[in-house]
Amino acid sequence: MAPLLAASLVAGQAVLSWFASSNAPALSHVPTVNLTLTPIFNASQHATALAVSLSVDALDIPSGGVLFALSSLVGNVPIFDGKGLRARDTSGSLELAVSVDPASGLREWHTQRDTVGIVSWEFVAPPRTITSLTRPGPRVDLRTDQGGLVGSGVYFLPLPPIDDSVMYDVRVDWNLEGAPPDTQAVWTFGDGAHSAKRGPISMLQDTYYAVGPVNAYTSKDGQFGVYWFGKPMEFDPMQMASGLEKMFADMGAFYGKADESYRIFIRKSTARSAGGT
Amino acid sequence: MLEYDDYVTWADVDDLSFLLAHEMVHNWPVTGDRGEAVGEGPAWWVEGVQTSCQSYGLSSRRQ
Repeated sequence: MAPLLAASLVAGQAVLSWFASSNAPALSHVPTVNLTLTPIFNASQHATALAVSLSVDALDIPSGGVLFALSSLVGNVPIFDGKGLRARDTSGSLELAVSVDPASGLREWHTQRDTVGIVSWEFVAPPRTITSLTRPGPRVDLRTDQGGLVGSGVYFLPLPPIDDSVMYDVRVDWNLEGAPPDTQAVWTFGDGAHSAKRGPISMLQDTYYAVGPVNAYTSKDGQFGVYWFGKPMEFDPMQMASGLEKMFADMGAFYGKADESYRIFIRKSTARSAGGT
Repeated sequence: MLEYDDYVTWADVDDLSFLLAHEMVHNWPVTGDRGEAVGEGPAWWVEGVQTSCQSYGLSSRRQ
């Protein structure tokens, strides 16, 4: 193993996830947040950006209050500034004032009137521009990778500042209409075009998304998966995933949590940046 | 999220598996329903994105 990779991976972190059974009945008193992601492809059929649409109910923000927030910087990674974001509610368009809190570093979108009913917002999230001079940092940014896109919501999803004690029915839908036939979509909590999970709304930021010509190793029960683009020459993801699947199953049994899920995302950097988050 | 680049010419699968298993172990003790039951929310990301952000002195979320 290359020393650089070994050293940088020591601090690497994977995301362990579990999700409620998709057969679980929806509870009417639990508010809902819907995220729809539409990958945008260029003439070469490469995903170049994500068109993002969200809506949330049970939101009641007074005029001047923070409607959405997103970090402006994570480590040394500059975060998407939300350019082009448009919002509306049941009463119509919402005028927004944007500022960055100097203490927290959060970019905040302030509504200029009280919100009414369901709030929705949309924008196009471009991947981060990477050059040979881009320094390694937390692997949270949205990047292109061999025809696809992969990244964390903490990079591109401004969300309402709702306390994490409030549970939502979180739904993630991928609109793959017009996408190349080999397009696959994955969220931390599910493969395919439609996934759902109950949790805090911030879960949308704290999870990963991948779309495009995704290669995958998934367990038969769908609880475990490893996802990557292209064909890494440095190691065999299938071989690695096979061993990790067995380990995951054994660990689940040991901890008495056999119904949970786990997904690992792999990406190739065009800049020198082996490591993990 | 595991990241590699063209400067890495070879990586031993056993070493990668060891490291990823290490991360898996760290997550298990804080995974489950407890977080939701006590109003803390799911805790699976304790070693995920949130902790990564916090380790750099910045929070990705509202307090």
